[in-house]
Amino acid sequence: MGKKSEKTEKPVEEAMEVEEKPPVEPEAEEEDLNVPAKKKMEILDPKSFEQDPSNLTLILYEEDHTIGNSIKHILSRMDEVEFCGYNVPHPLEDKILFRVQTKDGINALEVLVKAFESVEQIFSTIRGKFEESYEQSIS
Amino acid sequence: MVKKSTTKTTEPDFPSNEILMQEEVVLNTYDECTDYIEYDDTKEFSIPEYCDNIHVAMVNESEDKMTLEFDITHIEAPIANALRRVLIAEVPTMALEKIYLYQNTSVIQDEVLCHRLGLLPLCVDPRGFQFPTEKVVGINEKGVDCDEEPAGDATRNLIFKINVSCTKNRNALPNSTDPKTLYHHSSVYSGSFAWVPIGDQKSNYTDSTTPRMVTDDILVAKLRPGQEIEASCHAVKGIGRDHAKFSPVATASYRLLPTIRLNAEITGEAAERLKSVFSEGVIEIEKKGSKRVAVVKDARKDTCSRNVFRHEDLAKVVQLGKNKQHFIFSVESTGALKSSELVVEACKVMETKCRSLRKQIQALIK
Repeated sequence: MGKKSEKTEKPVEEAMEVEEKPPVEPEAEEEDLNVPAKKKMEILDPKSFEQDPSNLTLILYEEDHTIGNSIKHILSRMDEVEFCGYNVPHPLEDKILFRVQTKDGINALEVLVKAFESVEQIFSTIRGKFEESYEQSIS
Repeated sequence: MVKKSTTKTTEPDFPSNEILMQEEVVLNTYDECTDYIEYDDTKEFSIPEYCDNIHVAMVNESEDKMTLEFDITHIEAPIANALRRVLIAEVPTMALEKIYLYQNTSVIQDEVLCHRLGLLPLCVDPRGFQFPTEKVVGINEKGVDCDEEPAGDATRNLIFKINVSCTKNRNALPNSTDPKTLYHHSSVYSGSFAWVPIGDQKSNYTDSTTPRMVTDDILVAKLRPGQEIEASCHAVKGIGRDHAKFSPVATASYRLLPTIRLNAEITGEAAERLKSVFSEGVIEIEKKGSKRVAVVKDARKDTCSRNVFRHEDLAKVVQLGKNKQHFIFSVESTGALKSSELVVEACKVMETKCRSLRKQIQALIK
């Protein structure tokens, strides 16, 4: 009897270990963002990106249309950009794929940095103008 | 996405920055390759110029400052939609997350009651708090909820206690049937929660900003004599993306500014009819000499029902549209922050989001 119970216990322990592992992995570090951030991004197929830095597919975790569409909107007007778009691979997976194709010899990541800068600037402008206009409306 | 100037208009002399609404079809929509209004391909896109063009104007604000309507012009749908989405799902608020139920003998089940408590809107400024350290708070390594109520972290939690028991009212009239007079505490309202400060939390608040429920008259449960509810509720900071109870707005929406063009003078009976097919205040009738002429008074009030196209004679001379770059936002706060503060917070969230993602991309370059 004693031996039997030992045997049945072991698989249970193993199963629990397996269950525990996945959530531990992505939770690597924290950032002082408003949302506790984990591993937020990854380059899809980094080898081919190294060979041709104008062709980029970036995976953004825990992002959605909010970032995807607004960045696409700005990128599509930038001169360096040949093609851009984003896609939500599956509604239950909390990530988006961002695809950027830049003109020859331009690093797609650098263009993306510029786009994020622009969107930040647009929203800080909206905030500034909103505050100004709100101040005026209540005085 | 191929770049192309959008010079094609659906109808001659119809402005390209407007959507054209016809009886059965909407034309001139965003079906071109970009969402931008007609632009010059040869000119470089300049962000400072784009920002300069953006204009924000307040329309009206409710007296309690919880509902706000404002206009943003010269932006496109992706930017407006980002703002709307951030307002709904990414501006943080506080909500009850962990309910430590000590007693629940009411007819409402434990899990249903706890869910209901979680949805109660709290009137607390979330900006003074930090996010919880773990995503799922209070579950130990075995996946089991903790056995004992934790003390709570003054920088991350708020504790509300509730202890209500229903008793018979001995002074009730013998022939009365109303539970409200027969019993004490037959209905539990959100007002029965008492805030219990953690550590020196009390010093952070004045009398008017004391953490409480937004309204005290939300019915939580009904009790009968002998039943009681006793619970300690821990609130945490969260975002609507995680759970709708954290959403700071009841609604945040935008619509485009309607435009109405009368291409001919409409007088007499037809003018009256035109007035009646639109929402009130849209069309007014003015006297012009001996004639009574219909004029567009306030297109903003139009609901875009397109009812006018059911009248054959009027349909020929009325053109309905919407300005693609004029967004009328309506934000209705649930009570934790004023609507105007929410919009400012939403912009900040978007800015920090962009900044942190940008830094991470820059780290990838190196």
